[in-house]
Amino acid sequence: MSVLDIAKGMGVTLGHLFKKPMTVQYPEQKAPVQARFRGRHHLLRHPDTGLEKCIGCSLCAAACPAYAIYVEAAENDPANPTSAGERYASIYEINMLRCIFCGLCEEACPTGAVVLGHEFELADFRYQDFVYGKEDMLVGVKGAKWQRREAAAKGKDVELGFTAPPRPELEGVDY
Amino acid sequence: MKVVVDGVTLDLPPGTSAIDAVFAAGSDVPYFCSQPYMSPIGACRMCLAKVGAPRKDRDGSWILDEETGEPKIFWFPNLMATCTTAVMDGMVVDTRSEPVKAAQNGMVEFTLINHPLDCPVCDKGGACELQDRAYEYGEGVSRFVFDKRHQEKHHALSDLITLDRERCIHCKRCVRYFEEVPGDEVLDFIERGGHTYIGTLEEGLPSNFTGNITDICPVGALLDATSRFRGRNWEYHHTETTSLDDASGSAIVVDGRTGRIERIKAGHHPEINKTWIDDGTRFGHEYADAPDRVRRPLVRHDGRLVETDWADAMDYVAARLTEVNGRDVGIAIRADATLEEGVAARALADHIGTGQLDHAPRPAGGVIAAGGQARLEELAVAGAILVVGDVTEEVPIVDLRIKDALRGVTPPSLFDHGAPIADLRLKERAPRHAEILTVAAPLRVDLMRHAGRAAQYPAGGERAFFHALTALAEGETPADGDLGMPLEAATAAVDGLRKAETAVVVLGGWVLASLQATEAALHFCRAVGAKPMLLGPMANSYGLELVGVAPSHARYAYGGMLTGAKALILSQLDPAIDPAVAERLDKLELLVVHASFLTATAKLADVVLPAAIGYEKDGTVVNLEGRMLPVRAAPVDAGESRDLTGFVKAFGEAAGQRLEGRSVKSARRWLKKGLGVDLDALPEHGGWAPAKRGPARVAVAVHEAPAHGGALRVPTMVRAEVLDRNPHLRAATGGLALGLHPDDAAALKLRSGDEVTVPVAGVPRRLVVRPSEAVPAGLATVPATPDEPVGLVPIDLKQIALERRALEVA
Amino acid sequence: MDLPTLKPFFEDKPELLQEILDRYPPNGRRSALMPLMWEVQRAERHIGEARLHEIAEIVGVTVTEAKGVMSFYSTFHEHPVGRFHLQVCRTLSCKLAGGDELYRALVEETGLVSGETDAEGTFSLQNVECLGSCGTGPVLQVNDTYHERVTRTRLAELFAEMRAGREPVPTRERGGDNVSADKAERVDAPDGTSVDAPDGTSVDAPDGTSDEEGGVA
Repeated sequence: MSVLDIAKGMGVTLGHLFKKPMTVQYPEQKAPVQARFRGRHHLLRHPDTGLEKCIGCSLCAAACPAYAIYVEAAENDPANPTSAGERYASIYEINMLRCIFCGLCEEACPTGAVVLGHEFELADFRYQDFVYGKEDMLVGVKGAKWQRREAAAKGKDVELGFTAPPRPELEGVDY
Repeated sequence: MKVVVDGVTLDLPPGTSAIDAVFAAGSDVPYFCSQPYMSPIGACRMCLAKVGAPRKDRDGSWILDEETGEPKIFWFPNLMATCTTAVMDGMVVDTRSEPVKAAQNGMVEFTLINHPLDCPVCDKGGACELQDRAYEYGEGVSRFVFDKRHQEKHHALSDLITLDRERCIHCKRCVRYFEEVPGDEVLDFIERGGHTYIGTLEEGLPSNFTGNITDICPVGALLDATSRFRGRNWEYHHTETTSLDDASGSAIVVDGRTGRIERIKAGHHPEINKTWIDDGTRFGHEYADAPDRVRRPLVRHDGRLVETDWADAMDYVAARLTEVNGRDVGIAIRADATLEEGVAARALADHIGTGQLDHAPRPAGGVIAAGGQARLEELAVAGAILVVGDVTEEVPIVDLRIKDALRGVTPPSLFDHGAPIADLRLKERAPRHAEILTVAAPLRVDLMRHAGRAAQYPAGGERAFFHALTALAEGETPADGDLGMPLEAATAAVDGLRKAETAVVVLGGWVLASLQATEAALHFCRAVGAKPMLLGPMANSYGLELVGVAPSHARYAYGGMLTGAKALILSQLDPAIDPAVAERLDKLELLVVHASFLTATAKLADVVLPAAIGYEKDGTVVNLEGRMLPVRAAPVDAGESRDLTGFVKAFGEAAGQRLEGRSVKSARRWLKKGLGVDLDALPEHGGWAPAKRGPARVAVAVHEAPAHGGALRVPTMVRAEVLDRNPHLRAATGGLALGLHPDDAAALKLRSGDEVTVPVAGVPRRLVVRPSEAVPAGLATVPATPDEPVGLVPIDLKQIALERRALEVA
Repeated sequence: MDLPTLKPFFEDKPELLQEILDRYPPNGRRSALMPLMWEVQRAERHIGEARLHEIAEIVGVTVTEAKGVMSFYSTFHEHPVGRFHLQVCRTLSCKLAGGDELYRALVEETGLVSGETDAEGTFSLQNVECLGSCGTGPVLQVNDTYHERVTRTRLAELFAEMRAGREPVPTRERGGDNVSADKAERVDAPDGTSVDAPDGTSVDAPDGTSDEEGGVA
């Protein structure tokens, strides 16, 4: 190994010293994620009527390779429907510890009701806090359970640690 | 008969349909309208195949192919519906060629033209024949882009069945079913062509067998309302078991999800229920998950029942029992306990040292006829049948098998793929041989509509009825009023029974309630050479009599126990609905109640132990024909509920004893030793019970005075004691009925639908008034329960109290 | 049965009832279903639910089944039809011959659509399936009478008659070009129901039908 080789090597290092760093100062700085990044699920509503898109068909649960989804359906009250059609999900739960974020539920969904969003900050303390119900995933709910908990305690808005380009499937989701 | 299907040569009996030939050869054609045990009609055109056969020349020899020298196959010019084509000698069936595939594609596309694609919300999704066939045989695309036909989406055909008219593909299975199987034509096609829909003008589908159409509907048009949107088909855990709702031993499939029973479907037992079950069996499961279910043991402390666990509760029971003389302890179990539970009860009685052991309801006449009794298969081919009772309510499957006999078609022989898919002997609107059936009852019963002769003898007159018939059989002239039908009709009935190769006399609960009547009936059977069929009151009446769950002396029977014993262990029985009995039970030294609900008796108990109900236990039952059938536990969350073997195990542990019958396995060891039956090796479709009875204990017949009174307790298809916990069935039946003749109702100023409380044999019963011409004047009918078995009892109509007036119909 | 207290239709017609029932063997009593319905409809211009119950009871079938039969035939009416029941064939041959135009003209003229009856009870309009007179389309059936090759002029004549309260008489056109004299005669028979014995001459069987055999493999 000659001196020249060492100089060449050092040159690479020196060159990088003056380049823009690749790392992101998360959480101070927001992490950029790609449009198709698969994070926590959102349950969408029909934007015009506000009715839930989910019809409680359980196909997501059937498609789930990790058995992370549990659905129970019920019949809509025609006078005050929850979803369009006869049937809606009375219970919809995803266990985020089991979920492998593969997106098969999204693919299986016949109504485009469940879509994997961009939120990835899901770490929490207790087991039951990882089981997300409808109230945690319906469109309009921002942030993971702990983020909302913390924001409520501090009286602030939920602050998400990422930026993402819009994705048309995430109809009505506002980060 | 030689048939070649896709190159496979088969030898089939004549009369086989081509579709069964295809399936027997291991090939496959799709079909929607064919259904085992029903007539093939070729309505859906899905089972098309290329069919050909050789022809004979005028001289009787085969026309030969000039090239091969083999008989020449003449193909039918068009594809044939294999379900309506009978096999011919030398027939060739081709299910794989291009034209067949094109036809299958086309038919799937055609069937789907108007079928909505709402599979994700359809309860049939995942178990749908149309879905499967579309997947297997469809092209995957449709050229039809027009609007689909729109019709009513959720039409409540009855309180039990939801109809989605858009999904109907007009296979006509349901319409044919009602005509062919129960013979109640309550459903029909209305309109025609593209507008055709299924409809009824008979409000609420008045038949006891409506639920079967939800099983046979190939699409999601007819659905079980009790399980509406409860789960998807792939999520259900299917348990094949035997129904404990009546003595038929019908095969059922219990579908459970997340620890709850969501629905019950018919199982297949070719010799018992085929693929049909009655509505009581199908829809009467909701009580298993009733909110007031007892899920943990309760022990009385300071006058209050406090939750505890089995070990504590049993320690308490064992300790308290030592304070009572063993002989003063009474043990009674309900007659739908399994054989194994019967063994457990015996073991418990032996351990305690009491002769006061019984099962209830136990008919005075017993349910096992000496000399053997008729099997359901014999009933289905009988040449003459006499029914005394209301089988349609008592054991509904017997009603269906009688209707099989009326059609006069022998049961089909099975293929490897099961019952023939298309049994060409069955025809739509086949003539019925009503003349072979005689039905007798103290009131007008449903089966009389199908009977050639109907007799209405006075209530409580079963014994006199059979005496009169026997007199006729012996050539004497009986008293006129006893027969309840003209003498000529009775003579014809007796002659029919005597002449028929297989004659069956079906004895319902009203006969069995009296020993004398049963003896008279069996005597008559011997006189005419007919086989008796005894309808036990509950699922395992036969088995418990066989095992010998019976008192050692007549005074130790259940009735005597309630007055004589100082301590009582009652399983699933509720005698305290009678205030007089409740008063006595309250004074007992110890009352242990093994029950699923906090019944009137449980409320008086010192210890309440949660009892498993029929869907939650493993074991064996013996049905009314003496066939041992397996009962399997569905994965249901019933808290700490246990059956009697679990009860005995816990008791043994508390008493420091390993009792026989402490588990299903242990009970089966006893049964192997005692009765010589190996229940672990029970065949899939059950086996015949041994003639040998359980040792030591003998069923003691109780001699009773002739029954009298103004109320006839009648059997009901539904479990009357839990009807209030079965909301769908309750809505469908309109509640427990007090049947009165319209004149009697008018005299009491009662309208149909009025809710009343009336003392029946001392028990205040809350009933809904249903005036009916079927009830003779002067008689009232009330539903029987296990604690108030069928029979004639006193009623005090003067003390009738109106609880709620029915709404006046404008 | 809690139905409106209507006097049973056949109560005072035992001979008629017996005559109809006697046409069929004892075990074929249900065959009398349609003749009985005809009697009721002829008298009351429709078959109400009470009548349906009565007939079902007479022939021993369930009301559902009777309803199934009744609704299968568009000639039986659930609700009363007007004095002039206009039935337009909507099947292929008539459609090609201008059935749709005929229907539209009728809609314009009466202000009704298929299945409706006007408030006065004069006209009912109904689309029906093939009336079996394919060679002479478009066909309009007024009550029991066929009016064939209906043109606008002819329609105007028909309405003039009907508005005047007269039953319009069909032109002697029935059967088209190859009409036989007796066939044309029968049309004028006052009772339309007697037209049920075709004499064998097929109106719409052109030569060479055999060429079309085996069209679909």
